Amino acid sequence: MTREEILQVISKVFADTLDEDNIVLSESSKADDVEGWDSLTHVQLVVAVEKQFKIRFTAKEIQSWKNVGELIDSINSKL
Amino acid sequence: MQHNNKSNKSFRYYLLQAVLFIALLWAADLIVGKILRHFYRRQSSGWEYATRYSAEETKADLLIFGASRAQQQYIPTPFEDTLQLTGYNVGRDGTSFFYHYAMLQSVLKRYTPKVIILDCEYAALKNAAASYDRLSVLLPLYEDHPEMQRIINLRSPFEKYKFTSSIYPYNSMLFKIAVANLKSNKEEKEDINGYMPLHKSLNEPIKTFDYTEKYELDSVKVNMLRSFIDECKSRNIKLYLVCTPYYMKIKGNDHSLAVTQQVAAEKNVPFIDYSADSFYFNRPQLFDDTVHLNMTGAKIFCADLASKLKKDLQR
Amino acid sequence: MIFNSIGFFIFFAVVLAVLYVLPAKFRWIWVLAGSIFFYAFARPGYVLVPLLITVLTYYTGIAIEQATSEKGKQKIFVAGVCFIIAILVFFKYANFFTSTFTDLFNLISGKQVSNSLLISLAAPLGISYITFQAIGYLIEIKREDEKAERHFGHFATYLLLFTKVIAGPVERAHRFLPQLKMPARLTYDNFVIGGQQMLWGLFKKIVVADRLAIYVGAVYNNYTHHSGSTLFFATVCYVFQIYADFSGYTDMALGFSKMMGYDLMQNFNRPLLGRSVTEFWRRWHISLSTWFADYFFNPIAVAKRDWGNWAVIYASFVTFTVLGFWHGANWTFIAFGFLQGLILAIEILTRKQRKNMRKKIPVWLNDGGGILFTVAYFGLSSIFFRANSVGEALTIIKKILHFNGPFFFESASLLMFMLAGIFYIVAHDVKKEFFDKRFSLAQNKYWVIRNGYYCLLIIIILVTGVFDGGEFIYFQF
Repeated sequence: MTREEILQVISKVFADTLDEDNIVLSESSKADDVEGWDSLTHVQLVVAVEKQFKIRFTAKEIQSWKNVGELIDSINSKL
Repeated sequence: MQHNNKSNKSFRYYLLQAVLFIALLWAADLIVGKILRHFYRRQSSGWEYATRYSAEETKADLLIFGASRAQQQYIPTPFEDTLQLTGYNVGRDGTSFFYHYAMLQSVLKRYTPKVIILDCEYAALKNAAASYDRLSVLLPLYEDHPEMQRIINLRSPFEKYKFTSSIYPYNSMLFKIAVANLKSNKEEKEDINGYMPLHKSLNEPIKTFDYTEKYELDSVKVNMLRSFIDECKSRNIKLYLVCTPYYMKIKGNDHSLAVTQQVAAEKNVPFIDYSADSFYFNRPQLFDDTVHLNMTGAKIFCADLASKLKKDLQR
Repeated sequence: MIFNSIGFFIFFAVVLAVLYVLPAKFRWIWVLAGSIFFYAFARPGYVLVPLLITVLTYYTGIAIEQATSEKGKQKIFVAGVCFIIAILVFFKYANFFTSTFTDLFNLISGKQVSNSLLISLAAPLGISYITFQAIGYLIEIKREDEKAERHFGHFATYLLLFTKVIAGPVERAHRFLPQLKMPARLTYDNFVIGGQQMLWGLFKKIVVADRLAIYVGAVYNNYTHHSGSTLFFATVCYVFQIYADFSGYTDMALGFSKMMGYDLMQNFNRPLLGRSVTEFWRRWHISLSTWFADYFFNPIAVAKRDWGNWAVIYASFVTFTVLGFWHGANWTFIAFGFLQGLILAIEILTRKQRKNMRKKIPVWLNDGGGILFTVAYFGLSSIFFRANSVGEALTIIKKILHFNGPFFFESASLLMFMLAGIFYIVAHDVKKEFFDKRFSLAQNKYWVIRNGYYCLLIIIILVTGVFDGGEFIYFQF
């Protein structure tokens, strides 16, 4: 998968999990920019992404993400 | 410099801004302060009025000094009738010997009363920050009464500088002053010559409190009590120290009251103690709360005290 | 020294005046000296514990960074954090634990043993704030997100800075330290903006909070004698009191820091206008709630993420119970924390339903209802926060539910001052939240209006501020 494709899949996962139809993610998106993405929903998003890609992140990886781009890096390295 | 012209402006520009702001503030403070002063002095009823009247106007022969247990328990009328003197209650709630002494200074500057009753209560000589803070009710009189300034300055080391602000003396009095200036309140007098009546009546069994503990006394207060007595004696004012009834029993001996009693004996001033008077112990209906008689109780107490004073004065 | 005292203002004026003359490079020395004086002024012995934590954290940070193995890092980290927590527990919680233990012992054995281990040492000023900042710093280094600070003087200045000793904020090291290494920031703008923020903070503290405190104290300290309606009103006042008190104090801390050229993090963002309790906690004591989110809540939730929603709920409960306990060593604070965890769990579970409902009703009704609920729930929790025991809190709630009896307000004057205070703070927040783009008095482009507004603030402080204990409510039952 290309980064672009991964971003699209993540956008869909986010939209489903947060139940927000109009979520537009970019590589530089942060939690503050996305409606409904906060520390309470963060874990739900992680779990949904893990399920979608059938991968498992380490706690360290999860803590290290600063934006969506870094999340994509982590996914890429596991595919 | 990537900053705009603002940060390039000269030091003189900033100084001018600061000076203008201070000028604006000073003018606003002065105007509001003057307005508050005007209406403070225009009051003709209420507690603040009574305090100012006590310091500046009363010429009564008999004065009653003390805190709430003076202000809300001594009705001047029975004393006037029995002793054939004019009377005024200069007590103020929440105050201590600092206040009583400052008030005495203002009175003595104007005239010499014939008789003074100084009310003494439990814990009156206790070291408490609140006693200093509560001198706040005298702040509006600071400017016109140099004789009080030394005592008011005890409030804090910075007290005298606080009067740089014209508003400061009237802090927290805005609504009280406003209410007292309303027409309806000006006509309706709450007090009887400084006495503020209480009307509730108690309905509960008497309790006992432990007063065996020897708390820390405030030596400044003790000294003021001594000076109060000395200054009355030197002017041949007949002074009575009185402790009014309580609706509670105490275990031990209150430290302040014991010291007061000792000072009275030492200076040869009568000390009349009602604190353990069993007559009142059985009559909760005479009390507003455990430490204040209501008006009915006050009438009985005042009549009794007045006749005692009469006997003593005739001797 | 509290901020709203003349002593502090003199102290600060001296600190600031000297700061302006000193070359930028050496300013931190003066700020550090001022901070140490600040501790010592309260009690000379107070300096030692904060200094100990500073030295300990400084060297632990470097040691973690230099450790070669992951295991080594972990060991040093755990040792350092345990030591810091041990200091905190010793000073703040020892009495709570020993007396709880004694009570338990008495309960089980049926004997009456008094707690002989009561420690008479007072906790040094701001010990818990220093602890949080130190632990956060070590976590960042262990996660390799930040570098360990090598300049001991700068590090000590960060941890001990006097403006955040008493009520925070819980500043992050990596946000603050770079500011010490930047060129001079003592500008006219910083002075004015800082001064304005300080003034508004002072206003909230002595005009609003201290006035409400007179009434709330009188009612709560004699709660058995008061009616349900009085207790209800006192509780509403208490909500505004703690908000005005805490955010006012924070604004003063931020303002004073800004005047010295340092930016501290925003700590309150109109929390009482949060549309849900979840949102409230994103707006209330932000420096602490994000600290807990980053270092406590998230790691727990991530570790348990296979539990689905229950991971978040579990993490909420643990986090808020600890957060409650942090406020003080009393079961009431734990109850307070528990209530927050409970409502957060409910809000997580009803997310979808609430969202659907939002689509069906007008925005104003949804937002208004949300705000009202949030304030009410915070009011309910704050009864536990204010009461001396859980039993007392429950009695008060019971009385409020009966809502009867005479309403006590002491004097019309006090009531007017209180209502005016609540009005100021509500008006300020509502204006900022909903009409921020419209006119502004505080930032008006005309000199007279802008400065007239700040003059007015000072005049209101002088007319209605509570300066000392001269204002009181007489109570005797």
